Amino acid sequence: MSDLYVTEENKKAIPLSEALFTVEITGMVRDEGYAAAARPFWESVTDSFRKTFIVENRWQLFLDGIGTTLLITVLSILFGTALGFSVFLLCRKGNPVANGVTHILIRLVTGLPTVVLLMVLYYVIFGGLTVSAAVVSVICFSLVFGSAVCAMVKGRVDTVGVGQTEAACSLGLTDRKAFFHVVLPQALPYILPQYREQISALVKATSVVGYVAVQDLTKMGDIIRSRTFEAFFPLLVVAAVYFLLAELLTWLACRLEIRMDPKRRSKEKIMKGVAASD
Amino acid sequence: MIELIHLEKKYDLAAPLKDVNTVISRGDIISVIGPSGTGKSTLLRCINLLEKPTGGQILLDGEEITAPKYNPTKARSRMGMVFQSFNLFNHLTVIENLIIPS
Ligand SMILES: Nc1ncnc2c1ncn2[C@@H]1O[C@H](COP(=O)(O)OP(=O)(O)OP(=O)(O)O)[C@@H](O)[C@H]1O
Ligand SMILES: [Mg+2]
Repeated sequence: MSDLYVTEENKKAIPLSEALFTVEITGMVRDEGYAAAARPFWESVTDSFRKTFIVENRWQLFLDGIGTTLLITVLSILFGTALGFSVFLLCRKGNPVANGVTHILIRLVTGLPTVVLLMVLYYVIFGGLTVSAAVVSVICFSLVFGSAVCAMVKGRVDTVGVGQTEAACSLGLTDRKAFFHVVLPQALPYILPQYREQISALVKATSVVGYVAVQDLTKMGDIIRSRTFEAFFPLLVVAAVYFLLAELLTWLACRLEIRMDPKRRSKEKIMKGVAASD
Repeated sequence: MIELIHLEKKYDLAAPLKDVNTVISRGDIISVIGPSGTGKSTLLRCINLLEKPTGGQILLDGEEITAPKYNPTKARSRMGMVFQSFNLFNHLTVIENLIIPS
């Protein structure tokens, strides 16, 4: 729980009981002339390391944090991709009013700072419900990622000329087949590099979930820092892990990119013909 | 056999097709000629149902393909069309461009 001050304004907002327990607040000021007792460098490093990782099994906090961050990121990527792509497909032939509303919603999601959106979702929209902060975080980042996916798919698909759709239709492909077999495959090689960038951005963006009390990697680093008063190792680990997570996920997306390259299809697949493949 | 009966296509600013009537039988080789902007492409696009005619009828082997409930894909799968700007499928190989949509 964070500090609760008994003020006239607070009393109006929530019914407060009589004060049962009072805590004193102490302020500290650093002594300018003070220098840390000189210790051998190596000893201070090992001590700091011990405090950060070994004492109270704090390495487990890091593992928990990594797990939470990874879970939120991966779920948001999956839901966000599905959401963004579905919204794009619905809007492709959707009616103008519905499309307009969707467009405004997307602008809203991308226009707000992610932290603000997260807090709005947690405290206002889901405020009255008992939804866990982690779930709200996944919803928030799915929305953010979904908006990005929708915008980049639309942007890239629009650059494939309308003549391609017409040509495909004039050959007797249905509109749906023309989209999936002719238009989308030509847009994908341009969508995927952008998609990769978005994944990397998402991993980093999730570091704000601590604002709604989700104990992700950043938050765990904070907790440990506040216990040990040592910043070096916690921040080093947090920074390194974010970097590695982003690299790992981008690498996975790269594999996908290579697999989807139309130029790398096998001969058998090519000879099966285009519309026959579904 | 393709029959065009009183075919008409009007845009806001131009009316390239006005009362076009013709019968094209199997084996016929037809050239549609005219200066630029007179509606040659529009005619072909109407026959292919890429443009919706604003009036008249198109019959394909006696069946009216301009009827409201007609499925354009059915007519198109029996036609071949080469576009003025070609519209080859860039992401496919030559052979695929030839055999699509088989
Ligand atoms: N989508 C459209 N909207 C409005 N007007 C159009 C449209 N498409 C064609 N037109 C007009 O219809 C007329 C006929 O165009 P069309 O492309 O059929 O000419 P064309 O005979 O094929 O010419 P070219 O020999 O240059 O290919 C032109 O005046 C053109 O401006
Ligand atoms: Mg023309």
